Amino acid sequence: MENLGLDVKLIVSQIVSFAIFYFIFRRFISAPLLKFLKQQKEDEELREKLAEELEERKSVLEEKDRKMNKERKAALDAALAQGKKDAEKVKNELIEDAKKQAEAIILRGKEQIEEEKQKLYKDMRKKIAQVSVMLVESALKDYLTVDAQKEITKNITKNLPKIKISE
Amino acid sequence: MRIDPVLKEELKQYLLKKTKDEQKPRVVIRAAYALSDQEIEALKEKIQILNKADIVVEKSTDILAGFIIQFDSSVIDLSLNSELQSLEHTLYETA
Repeated sequence: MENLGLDVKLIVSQIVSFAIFYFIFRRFISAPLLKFLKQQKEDEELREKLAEELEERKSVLEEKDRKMNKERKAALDAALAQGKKDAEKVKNELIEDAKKQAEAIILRGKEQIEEEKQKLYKDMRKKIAQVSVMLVESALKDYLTVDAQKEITKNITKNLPKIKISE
Repeated sequence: MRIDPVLKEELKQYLLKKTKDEQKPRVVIRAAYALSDQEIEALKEKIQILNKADIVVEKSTDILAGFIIQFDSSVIDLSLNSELQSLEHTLYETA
């Protein structure tokens, strides 16, 4: 062996050294590193799984939200439509009521005008009659002489029926 | 039964007044001019109460013609004024 240039002791020593190194590497470096990598991989997988679940839940929630929004919108539209319908009904009732009131006011006004007209007409007739008689009286005062008065008195007495007054 | 002296006196006065009134009722004739005796006689023929009444003739310038006879609370209006009043009423009713 020595003739081949190989030192057996040295080789054994190197082999032992390598063995020790391998043992130490395997025991204290390789195993924890592998364990760490494995742990990292598991964590990564768990994260991905959680992310997927989250994504799934998010989509479910979004779907629910969309559905709820849709329902809310439908309810709001229905409420709005009902509100419009009610408002229209109230508006029509108010208009109808206002029309009736206006008609009543107009009718009352017409009646009042008619009453005023009748009253005015009555007053006018009264005034005309009074003025006419006043004019006649005035004319007669100027016209009637004592002789005329005597003649009238005579006629009245002549045409007077017999009157009996109980005491 | 005692009679209240005040009531007794009032009754006495009333009876005296009534007796006095019964003797001769007072009639007032108002006309536009002083009525002559002839006109009063003509009236007496128509209105009997004038025959046994104390007649007072009054001249009233308000009366246009005719006369108004007043006896107690009774009034007989035979004046032209009352005719005019009737005319006014007729005008008012028929106009």
